[in-house]
Amino acid sequence: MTLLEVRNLTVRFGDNIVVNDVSFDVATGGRLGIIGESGSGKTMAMLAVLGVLPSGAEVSGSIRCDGVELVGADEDVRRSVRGRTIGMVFQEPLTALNPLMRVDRQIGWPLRLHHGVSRRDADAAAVEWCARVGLDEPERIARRLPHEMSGGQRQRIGLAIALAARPRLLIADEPTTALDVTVQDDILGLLESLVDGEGLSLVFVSHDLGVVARMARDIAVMRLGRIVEKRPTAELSERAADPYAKALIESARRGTADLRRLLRGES
Amino acid sequence: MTVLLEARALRRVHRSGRVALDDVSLSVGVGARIGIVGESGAGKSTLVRALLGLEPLAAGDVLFGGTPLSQCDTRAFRRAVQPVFQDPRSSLNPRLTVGRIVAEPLECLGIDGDHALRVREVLADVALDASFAARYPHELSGGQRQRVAIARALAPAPQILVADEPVSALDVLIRDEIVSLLDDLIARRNLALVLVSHDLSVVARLCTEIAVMRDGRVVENGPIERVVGSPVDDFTRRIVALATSSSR
Repeated sequence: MTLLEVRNLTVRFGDNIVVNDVSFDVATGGRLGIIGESGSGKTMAMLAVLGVLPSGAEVSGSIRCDGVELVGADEDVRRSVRGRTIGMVFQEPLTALNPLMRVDRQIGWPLRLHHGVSRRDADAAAVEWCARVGLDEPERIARRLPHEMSGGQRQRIGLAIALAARPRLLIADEPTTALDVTVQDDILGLLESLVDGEGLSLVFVSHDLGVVARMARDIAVMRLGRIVEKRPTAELSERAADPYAKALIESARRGTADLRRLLRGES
Repeated sequence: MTVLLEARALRRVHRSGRVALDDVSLSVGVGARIGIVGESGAGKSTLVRALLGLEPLAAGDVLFGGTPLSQCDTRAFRRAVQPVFQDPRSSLNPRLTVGRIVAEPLECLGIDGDHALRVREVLADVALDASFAARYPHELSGGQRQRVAIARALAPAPQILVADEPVSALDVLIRDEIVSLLDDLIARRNLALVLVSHDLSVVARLCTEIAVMRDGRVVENGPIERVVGSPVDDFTRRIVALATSSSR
């Protein structure tokens, strides 16, 4: 069953077309990776799905989430989807989190907004979420402010906020790009287990092919606002037809080739 | 091998009491290519800044040609050891033309000769034609800006390039171009390279030696084949495994 259906999505700012006739589906339990470089339109496409584009954006085409059309919908409709059906985690948790609000209140906010949960119950749920995203001493850490945490801890909080209201689809936009490789590995492992455990659908956006290949079953390659290639992850490296997609694959391959050679003890 | 630049038992303590460098030594010989890897906060950039003479040290010394920096000819040192920083958008003066930016070290260091000619030469070395000299940084792409930053570093004909994450702000395909360009320039001019990167694959392409840093210390160093091929330290093992894992 299709949970998210995007058809001919176009986003423009005046004459500048940033997302150009993009179509993709995410099935229930599906995992789509979107890869592209800065300015390829991948983040703008995700902001369009969430209905949080910067002012001045003109959107055309169709975005249906769980059967509900979002393009041109009232803000009430979009708000009922955002956070409840679709959760989102961003690249830089330091800027995505409210610096003045304790993290338990931030995790609990979607519960209060979408499910009418009392503050006390939301606080308790927030502590549970802190534990579920692998934070030690959840009661203590829940009362902290974002600046009192490390980058990896902040991104765990970002995940807890995104998942607190039990969405069915998680959009993760470069969630590990700002993190060190070992922390990135930990967070990706956590994300995998949460997505599996909650039976979530996932859209994972990144410029890093290795990371996308790990997280997604299907990969769409974006360039200059368009999807230039879309294939199951397992087939991408063998079957890619688009020259740009091929260049990305070749670059990733070359990146590890030198290291593998060193590992084999050749110089 | 003649040692050009040497860090001896460097210790750097921040005012907060945090030890940023703890007994760090590193020796850069003629034509050496040393990669420094580690996570944020490991002390990589502090070490690089110390090698450039930009960090106050609690103990230890940086020596250029065997002489401590405090006693050596600053101009000769600056001329020989040139930095390339991570983000060319913030390291290039937005008010100056590319020509002025590239000529700046020549002027600051009082280097004689035809500066305009020298600017054209080094721009050609980084595959930018002479017309770029009249342009401003904001008119350039990220890759072109980093080429300008490299040209500026090359202008005074240094012996050592000290590059702190020179490609991590760039998109992957552009990153490949800049890595190839650096590789080529360093080989042709027999430059020494000290490269800081969190990306082991970039280090593998450019360097023959590697130092792994963690919590202000060098936890493992040596020829890259040995350190990457058979890491001893647990942390080194993990970053090597992650960089070469099958999903990538």
